[in-house]
Amino acid sequence: MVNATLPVSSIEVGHHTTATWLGMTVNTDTIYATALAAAVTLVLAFILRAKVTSTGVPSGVQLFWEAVTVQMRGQVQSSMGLSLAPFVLPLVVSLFVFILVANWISVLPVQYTSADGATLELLKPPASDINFVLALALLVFICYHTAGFRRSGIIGYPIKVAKGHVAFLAPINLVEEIAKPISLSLRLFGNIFAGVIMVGLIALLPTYIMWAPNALWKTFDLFVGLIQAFIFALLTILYFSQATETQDAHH
Amino acid sequence: MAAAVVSGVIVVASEAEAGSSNFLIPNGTFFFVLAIFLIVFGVIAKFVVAPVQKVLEERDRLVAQTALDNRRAAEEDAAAEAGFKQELLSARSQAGGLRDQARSQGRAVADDLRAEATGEVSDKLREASEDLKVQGESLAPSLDASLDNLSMALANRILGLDADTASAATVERRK
Repeated sequence: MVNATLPVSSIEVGHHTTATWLGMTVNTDTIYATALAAAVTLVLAFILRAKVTSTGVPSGVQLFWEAVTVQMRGQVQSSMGLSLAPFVLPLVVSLFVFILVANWISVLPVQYTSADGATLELLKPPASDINFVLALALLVFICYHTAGFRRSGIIGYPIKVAKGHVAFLAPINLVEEIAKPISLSLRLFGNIFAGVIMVGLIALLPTYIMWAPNALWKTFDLFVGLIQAFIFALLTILYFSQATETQDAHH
Repeated sequence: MAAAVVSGVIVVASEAEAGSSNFLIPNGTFFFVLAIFLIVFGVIAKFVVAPVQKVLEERDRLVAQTALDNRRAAEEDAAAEAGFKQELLSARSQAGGLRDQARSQGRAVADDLRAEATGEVSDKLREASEDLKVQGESLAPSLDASLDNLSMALANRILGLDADTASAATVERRK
């Protein structure tokens, strides 16, 4: 047990390199990884912008963006309709691609051992930092409530949210409303964070066998990253549709 | 092993708490990530989703236009086919009418010619019979004249008289 505890305790959980920017403590590794994900996304966006075509043969980048947009547009249309909140589609497309790229930048199994013996990844997925997921989830939270207020009015919307479908469930509805951003952020955080811990655990294996579970896990992590990005975008759409639905719109 | 992991997590977490930074508590990173995402959102909304939607609409429009063109072309094709059939039918009936007309005209001409020929034939017959009658009438007196000699010759032959003597006798008797 002592032997087992010794390497395990060398797994660094939630360790970040920090710095002080603008008087705030920031996790620089998260910000660099986030910036890299954003850079990749922006490069893809600008490639599309330069070569977008409706009559010629679309490029691979355009096909990627079209596939994402069509998929998300289908989801938005089937759950709430495109006209209720026109910024939902760009928001979910951005969320999906940004989270996807952010999750996938850790695909390269590049790990290094820090001076104190801990195995760290060169590029940690930003979603393994609570700041990243909270920023996105709270943004979504604020946006869909704003859309709800605009749809049902300053007074009408809080009443609608509290009442839900059955009036006596109002306390549960309120709890559910608070749980939404928490579950939305922690679901993504937990999945990606678990991936980081898994990599740390696999790194404890002897080098001659470590590559096999590492390759397997990284492959599965790609799938997890895709699924989590999709779920985040899907739930965003669902929350928007719940916030913007009206009583007479029930079917 | 699992217990060991949990204890490891707890150790690090409590260490972090002691070091005044819990990794589950957000810090300034929040705002930087938010800012980065808002930039990405702005760029994607302006430079990706808008043009892609335009492209999709344009493509839908083209597809619909092509489908419409196809339908219109098929309709025109069908109309042309129907017109062609109509034309063919009228041409056929016209040809049939012409054929019937030609046939009746031909029959009329043939009838006319036949009637004409019949008239001619009867004319010719009449003429011929008249000629024959005239000839017969003109021949009758000369034949009557030679009837005497012939009958005498016959009678002599029957009686066995020499023609010369008979004729001499005749001549004598006549004398």
